[in-house]
Amino acid sequence: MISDAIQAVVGAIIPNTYQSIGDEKVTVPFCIHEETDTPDYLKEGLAGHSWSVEIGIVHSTSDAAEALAVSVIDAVIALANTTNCNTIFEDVSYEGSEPGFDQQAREYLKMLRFTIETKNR
Amino acid sequence: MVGTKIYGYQLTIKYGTKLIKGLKTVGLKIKPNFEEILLKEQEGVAIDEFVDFDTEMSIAGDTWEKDVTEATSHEDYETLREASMLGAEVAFVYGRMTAGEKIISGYAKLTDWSEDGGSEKKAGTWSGSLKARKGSVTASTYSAT
Repeated sequence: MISDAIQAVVGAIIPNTYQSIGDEKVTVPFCIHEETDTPDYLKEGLAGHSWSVEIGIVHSTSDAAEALAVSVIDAVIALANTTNCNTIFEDVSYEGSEPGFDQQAREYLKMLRFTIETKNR
Repeated sequence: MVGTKIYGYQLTIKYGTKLIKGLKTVGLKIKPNFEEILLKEQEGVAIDEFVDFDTEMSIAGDTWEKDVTEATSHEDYETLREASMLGAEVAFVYGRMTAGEKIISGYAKLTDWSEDGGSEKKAGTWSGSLKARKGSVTASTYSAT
C-alpha cells in the first residue's frame, strides 16, 4: 500500500508520523499524511493509480518545520521508479506547500502536496 | 432490479481487427435519414419515408504505446495518427467484444484526429472521429473468430 510506503520513508525522518490522524498527546515534531486515490481506467481495465498525497509537518519553529520538509520532499521524490511496501511507484511530482500556524499551540505547520503515479495500490 | 447492467468499459471498438491501446471513451451516433413524401392521394398529410442512415463514432484515450506482445491484438494512437493521414478505410466493430453479444460492424474512415500533450508527468490524450461508409454498417452478434 502507498500509505505504508509513505509511512516508512517519512517515519524514518519524523518518528511521530501518523496516517490521517495523530495521537492526541503527540509532541512536536510530528507528521500526518493522507493519500487520495484516483484510479486510471482504460477500456481494458485498471491501468494505474494517480494519488493526491498530503503530508503535514508540525514543529515548534518555522525553520525547523522547513528543514524537515526539505528532507521529506527528497525522500518522497526518491520513491519514483521504485517498489516500496509492494507498491510500484512511477512518477512522483512535488506540487508545492502551504504554511500554517496554530496560535493556541504555538506550532508551525508545513503542508506538502504531491502527485504520485503508481502501478498498483 | 432485474436486467443486466452493461458497464461503460464493455462498450468498445475494434479498428480493423484490433483493439485500441489506451482507449478510454467511445461514442456512437446513428442518424437515420428520412424523405418527406406528400402525394396528392395523401390528402395533405405528409409521411417520412426512411432512406438510409449515417453512422459516426468518436474515440478518445490516453497516449499508451502497445507492447510488443500486443502487435497482433492492438493498435495504438501512433498507428491511428498515421491512418488519419492516409484517409484509409478499415473494417470496424463496435459494441461488446464478447461472443454472442450484439455489435455493429462495417467500414469506416478516420475523419478527425487530435492529440494533446501537457508538461506534467502523466499521459497525454488523443481523440478521433470515425465516419462509416454508408450502406456498409450492419448489426449482428460478435464472434471471436
